[in-house]
Amino acid sequence: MRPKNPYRVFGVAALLAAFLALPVAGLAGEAAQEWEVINPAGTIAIKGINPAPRPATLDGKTIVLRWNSKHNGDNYLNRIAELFAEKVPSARVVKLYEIDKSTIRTSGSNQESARIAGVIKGLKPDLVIGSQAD
Amino acid sequence: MEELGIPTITVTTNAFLSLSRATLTSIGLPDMALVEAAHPMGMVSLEEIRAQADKTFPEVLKLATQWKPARTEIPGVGKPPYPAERVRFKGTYEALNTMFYDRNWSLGLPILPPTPEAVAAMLKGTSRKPEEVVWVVPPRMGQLTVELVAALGYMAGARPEHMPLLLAAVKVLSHPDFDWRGATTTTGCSVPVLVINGPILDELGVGYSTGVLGGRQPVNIALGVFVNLVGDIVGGSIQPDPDKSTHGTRADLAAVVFGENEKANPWKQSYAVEKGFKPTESVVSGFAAYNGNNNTDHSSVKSTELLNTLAIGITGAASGVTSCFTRYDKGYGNDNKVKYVFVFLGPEHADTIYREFPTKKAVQEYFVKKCAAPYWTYAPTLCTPPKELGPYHENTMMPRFTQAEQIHIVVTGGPGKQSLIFPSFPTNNRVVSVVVEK
Repeated sequence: MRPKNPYRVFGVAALLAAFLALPVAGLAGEAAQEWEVINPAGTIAIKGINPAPRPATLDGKTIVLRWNSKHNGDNYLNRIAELFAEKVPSARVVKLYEIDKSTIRTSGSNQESARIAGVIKGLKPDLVIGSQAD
Repeated sequence: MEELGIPTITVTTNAFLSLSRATLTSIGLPDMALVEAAHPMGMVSLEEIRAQADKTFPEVLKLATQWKPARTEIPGVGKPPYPAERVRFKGTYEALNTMFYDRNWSLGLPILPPTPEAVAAMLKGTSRKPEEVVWVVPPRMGQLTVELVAALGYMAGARPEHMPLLLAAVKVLSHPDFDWRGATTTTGCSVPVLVINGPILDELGVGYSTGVLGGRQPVNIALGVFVNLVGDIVGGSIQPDPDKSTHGTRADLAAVVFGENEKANPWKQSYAVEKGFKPTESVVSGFAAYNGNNNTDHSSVKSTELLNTLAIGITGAASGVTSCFTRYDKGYGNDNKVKYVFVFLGPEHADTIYREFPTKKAVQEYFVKKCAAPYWTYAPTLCTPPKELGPYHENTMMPRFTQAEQIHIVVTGGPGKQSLIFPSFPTNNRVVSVVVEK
């Protein structure tokens, strides 16, 4: 658990000290000084990915539903499938978790994510809907 | 999928929206079609979850054809990792600490300020080039250079001679089998655990006897704090986002660092030697764990009596997320969760066990046989018995493990009839061990 800022009390005390005309002193009478420190956060390295374009319509399209095994994710997606059947009857909805049970998992590794993505790609979907649940 | 050119919609609850966005950024997606559902989705009734689907379906339908990314670039990308930015600040030591905390550059504990002079002194402890990137730390994907290892090590209280140990620890944590991302963003109380073997124990004064996980263990504590500084500052895994740990653990401040009490190990072979390393090599082994539990057994006289009380502790550890019939050589899955465990035996317990079990292998095999629980104690869907078991019922005893190598035994600590049990984090694939390179 990340604690609440433990230095805030020090900050308040420092402001009080400033009010009392002790502008450069900390709680222990420590004088302010010039510091030079290294930014420890580092720069970030991310290779950008462009999001895929959306289909103009869902009519006649293949929609794959992917469940990651979290409780109720399948129940949520089952209802979504029913709603698609009502609202977009020409769409083909594929419940991945019913046709390939090896995909019912949070992947746990890049390798496994790639494998599951390969299985989904093989279904030639126009849209994939995943439920994270929790 | 987006990288493969296939559009997606991800349904996530409002409690995890920020984690979803952080994850997207870390994999390079500036934005993604996210549908926000009310938390929680799990452990609610079928009627409630169907109502959630009804409520969110219009948004699903809309995003399917109309979604456009809110941003197309990820800010802050492209800056060189070395040299690290120098920051000038005027104020007291207290004010400096406040500044560090406000910028997410500390854990909330006071730090030693990483001045260029202090970092340069730390770098003398290694022959590695300061510009070398040793890890791109998820989920933030911060570039950890050797220079930053020196800076973060210094902030944690490490000394120049600790640099090889810090770098070895980074090599362990960054291994894909560790699954750092999963372990540091989970709702679970995950704990990074490191075990140190070899001559470096006495060379650096690594703690391995009384109070090994307690205070006044400067090397263990500095390394433990360093691990979390790397994870929180460079990796960005701070609570409450994207580190979603429901309770967290005090190991979020100082990771768990054990030295093995090799001199008190009745089996003689250290953990590292058992894994194929030479006794002359210093080795860091590590894994992602759940919070440990303890075995306090003052009563058992026979080896098997003590092993039995340990077995129930092992079996019950991390309850609710464990699978039955797990295997060490099988990947993560609902049927293979928490697939191994570390038993940190106090030397007196080790001696008691050794009397009737002259090899660790025999101990491991005993645990595999004894660590079992009735089917009803496993969470739904997590215990899938093999067909060979035949018919079973709710009281059928289901073993947690099937292979001796799923039980890892380390002798550590001082006098006393105490041991500790740390179950592995589910997506952690195996123990990673590396030699400390000077």
